[in-house]
Amino acid sequence: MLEKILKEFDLDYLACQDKTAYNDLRVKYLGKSGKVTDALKEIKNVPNENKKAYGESVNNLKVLIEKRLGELSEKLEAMEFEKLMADMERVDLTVPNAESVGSLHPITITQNKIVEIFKSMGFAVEDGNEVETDYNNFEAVNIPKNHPARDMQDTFYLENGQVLKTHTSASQNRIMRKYGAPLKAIFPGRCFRNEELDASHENTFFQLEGMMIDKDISISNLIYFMKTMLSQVFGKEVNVRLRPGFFPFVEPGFELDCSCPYCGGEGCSVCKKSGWIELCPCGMIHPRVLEMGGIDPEEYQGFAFGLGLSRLAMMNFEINDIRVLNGGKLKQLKQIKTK
Amino acid sequence: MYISLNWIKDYVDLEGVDLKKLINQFTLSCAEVEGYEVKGENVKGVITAKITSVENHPNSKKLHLLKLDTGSEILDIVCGAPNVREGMIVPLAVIGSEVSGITIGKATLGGCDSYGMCCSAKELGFSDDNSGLFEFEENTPLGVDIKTILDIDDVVFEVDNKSLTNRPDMWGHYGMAREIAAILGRNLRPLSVWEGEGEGDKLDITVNADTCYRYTSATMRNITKKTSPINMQIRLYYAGMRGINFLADITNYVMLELGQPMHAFDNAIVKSISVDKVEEDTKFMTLDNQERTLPTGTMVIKSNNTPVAVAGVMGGLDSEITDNTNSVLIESACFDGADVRKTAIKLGLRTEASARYEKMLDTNLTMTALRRYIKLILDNDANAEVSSQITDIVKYTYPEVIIDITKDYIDRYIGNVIPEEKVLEILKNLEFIVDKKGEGEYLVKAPSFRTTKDIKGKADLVEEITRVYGYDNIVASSTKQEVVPVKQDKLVDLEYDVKYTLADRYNLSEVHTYIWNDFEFCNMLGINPESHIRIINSLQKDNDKIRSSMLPSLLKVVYDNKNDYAGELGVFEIGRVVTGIKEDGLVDESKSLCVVKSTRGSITDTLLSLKQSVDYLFSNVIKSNVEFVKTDISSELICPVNYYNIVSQNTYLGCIGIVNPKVAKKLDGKLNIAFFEINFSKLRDLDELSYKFEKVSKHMGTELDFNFEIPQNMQYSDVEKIAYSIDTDLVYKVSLTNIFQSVGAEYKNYTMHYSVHALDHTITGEEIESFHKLVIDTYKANGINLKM
Repeated sequence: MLEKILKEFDLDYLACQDKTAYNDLRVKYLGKSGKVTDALKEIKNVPNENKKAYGESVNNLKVLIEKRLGELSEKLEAMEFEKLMADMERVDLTVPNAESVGSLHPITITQNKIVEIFKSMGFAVEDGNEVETDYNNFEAVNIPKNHPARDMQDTFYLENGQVLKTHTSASQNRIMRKYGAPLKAIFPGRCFRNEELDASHENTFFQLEGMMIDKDISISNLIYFMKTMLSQVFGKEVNVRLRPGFFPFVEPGFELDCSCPYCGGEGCSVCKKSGWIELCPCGMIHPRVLEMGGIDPEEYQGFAFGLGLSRLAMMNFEINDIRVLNGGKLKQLKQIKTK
Repeated sequence: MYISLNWIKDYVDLEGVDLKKLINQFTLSCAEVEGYEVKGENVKGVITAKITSVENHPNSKKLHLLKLDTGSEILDIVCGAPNVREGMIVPLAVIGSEVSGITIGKATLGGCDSYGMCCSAKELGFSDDNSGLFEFEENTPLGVDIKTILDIDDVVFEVDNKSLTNRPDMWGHYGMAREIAAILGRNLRPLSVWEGEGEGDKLDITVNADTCYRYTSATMRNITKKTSPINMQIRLYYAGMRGINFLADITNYVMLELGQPMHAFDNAIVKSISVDKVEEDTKFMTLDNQERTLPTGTMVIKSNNTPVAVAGVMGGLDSEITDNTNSVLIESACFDGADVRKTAIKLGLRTEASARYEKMLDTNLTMTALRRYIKLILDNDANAEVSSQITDIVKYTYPEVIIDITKDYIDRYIGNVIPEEKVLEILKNLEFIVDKKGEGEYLVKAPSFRTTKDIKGKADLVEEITRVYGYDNIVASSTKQEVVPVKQDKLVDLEYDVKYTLADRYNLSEVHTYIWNDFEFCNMLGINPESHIRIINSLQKDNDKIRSSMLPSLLKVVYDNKNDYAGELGVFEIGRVVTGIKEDGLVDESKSLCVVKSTRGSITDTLLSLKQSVDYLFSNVIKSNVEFVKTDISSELICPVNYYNIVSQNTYLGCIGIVNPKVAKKLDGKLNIAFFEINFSKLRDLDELSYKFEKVSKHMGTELDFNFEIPQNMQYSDVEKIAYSIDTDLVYKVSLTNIFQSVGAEYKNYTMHYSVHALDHTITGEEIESFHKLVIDTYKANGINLKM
């Protein structure tokens, strides 16, 4: 009889293809009135001397069926998972996102990066006006009336004698008076020159200027600082070299060249094959300028430097026409998102 | 400015100096070299030859058949130059030689063979003259390389004029030579000048203008020479000028050598001099053959009370040197730089002379230059003689500059120690006179040619020492500073955070626009935005009104981009506006944040989405409250309906609304344009609100909904005040969960959702019931009823 049960089970086993059939199968053999359970109940009709052997046989059969059912369950689950995988929808992550995001201006991104560097070095970040007095823009940075440097700067003059600031240096005096010495500050700002526009000239552009004033600040410190700062800006070690440069508010004044961060000094289109890019006018703050800022030049020295933010942004994003920056063409500006 | 190395070599020995290194060193120590050109390198093997016969070409009217004697053979040459004649000695490029980098071969011209080419000065690269063949002097030997006669081989480098702004002494070759000598540590040879005092009387010279500091003069006669030596002409040409005639060339030569502008008047016409300012606008013919009006006050040189030159700028046509001139009155004067510059700008006439005077020349230079001038005339014209005493009127001399400086100061300023002997050597080479007062203490006297504007104090001396010492030789070192916390301006971070939020969270694009209103655009819109001040000298003359609001600027951006995005776009800027003129006459400038969003959606959706961004900025970025207060003020640009003031901490900050449809229509008929603009500078004055945890009940509460009829014109903010005025010990939160509104109806329906709790126990049925009643009564007391 037990053999008959096993034979029948084998047939049912082969016929079982899904979970429902499996559950039925289990009930049919191992349920309360399943065939194996029934067979076990039959023990009461078995002669005593055979009871033990019969009991063992039924139990063996039960173990065997349970084992087979276990295998069957695993097999069915595997089949089900396969089917689930086969039917699951496929998502193409290379499809572009539907939602467009906004964008920050190239100047903002560049400026923020530089400002963060300076903040990490303990600089205060200041902000000047765009309309400045003649005094702040010229006199206080050692450019008196009739100074030829006033010619070099094509100044927008307003009706009341004020000017649109021609350089961020216009903020120097106010900042020196605000903080006194010692002082570490940078001041990004928008500047204006009354000139015609072309691919490399704008009448409205951004600079970032900085000052560091303390006892015993030296040219040696300036070189060290500029090298450290520019290496941070470009994210790699750069070399700097100084050349004489004439700016009325510094003495000595320098043109600072930076080894080209794009080609490592080998020569490329950015550095016009020279290996150096002229980046950063700087110098030791002129004693007269310190004096006008209320700082004693006998006790304190300092250096100042300027960075062309518009130029850095153009280098950073490979923009080859400065007019893009103020042009307000979103097709261009939206390319760089918020980073 | 162009510098000829041949000229420099007159004064500094450049033997063994590597050219590229020299130029690099010059750039690093003196002034920027923009480039250099090796002259004469593309002329090779051209020799002198004499034309022995000239015949007409059988097939051409222009060409001639020539025979040229090279000293060793006679060559047939076909030549198109008009000035050919027998006996002329000319440069001949024989077969195999090079001219302009091209190798000359046998050629056939009009059927006749030519065994070489006769050359003009232009073809040989030392003049612009292409009118005919260059001609050598009669007794020139034949068959020799022209380079043994003509100094064609030279290196010319161009120095950036801007980097010489502060260095009047470097506007001539001698000053450049001094710099080169100093950086090479070699000697500067002395200038060769005439040492005499002159014959006869002093000249009749009066200086009335106080802007003439010195006038040094002499006359010369019996000048017979008409052209200057060819090698002098080549130098002039390489330095950017050209040969004119003997006297003019010497004048230019001295200027290019010493930086001192000279002027030669025809002594037959100009016999006496007075330096004056014209008392009325005066017409004057300058030697470039143009009649100009000299404004009142212009400094002029007069002779017999008639102007003969605009001082420091240009001479007059009538007293100009001509081919007939054989006597001259030489002017070597020093004028005030600012005055000359003003005149040059007023006349729109910047000349080589005015460019130099503007830099403020050394008053001592006039005498040296005059003596150099006389020397050059006498050396080149055997007949010439000085016909007056040197006459020198000195009105002003720049004060001596003597600087008290210590070695310690120098070392401290540089941050490195430079050996004393090096410091002293550099200063000496630059012609500073150092008097050693004591150990490490010096009195330094600056040479007069550096004191007119450049050298004033200790820092200037440090520059001289370091630039010649070499900035590359300075060892960099970090500062030693105390650690002090830095107080940052709150607006700096806030500005970036606001920008980032608008771009990243609200999909807006940041733009930069100009600080002036765009005239054409405003015209197109038919608006005239408020402006408190104008630019008086703008190159774009109509764009001269400084903006008081950024809205017009951003509308222009919308307009410029509408075709790219079907009008659906949002832009923002934090920029500057001028909102008025303060009592002290200065402008009232502030930072402004403006956002403009244009959509094809409904006015409600557009404006509410913008309002949402304002709410978010205030609650999460600025950290302050914000209220929208309805206002009726209208303007040509803003729609009077849906116009709100933005208020925070009782301070008016700006406004939000939609653009007047009359204006929007001109941008695009189908667009709704919403905007807000706030005074960003005022955010600095707001207190940052702090947020504290509210008590939250742990016990079960209840949720209640009420559907009220709200008068159509009542704002939610007023409803909300009522909603929170329930007088109870229970804690509750209210939210507006549904709005039903139909156009023209007297009421709109608001579903007000109350979430109610008791703090210390589970809410009871009685409590709920009495709260329910209290809510209805409170609304009723304010004229609001439940919807039936």
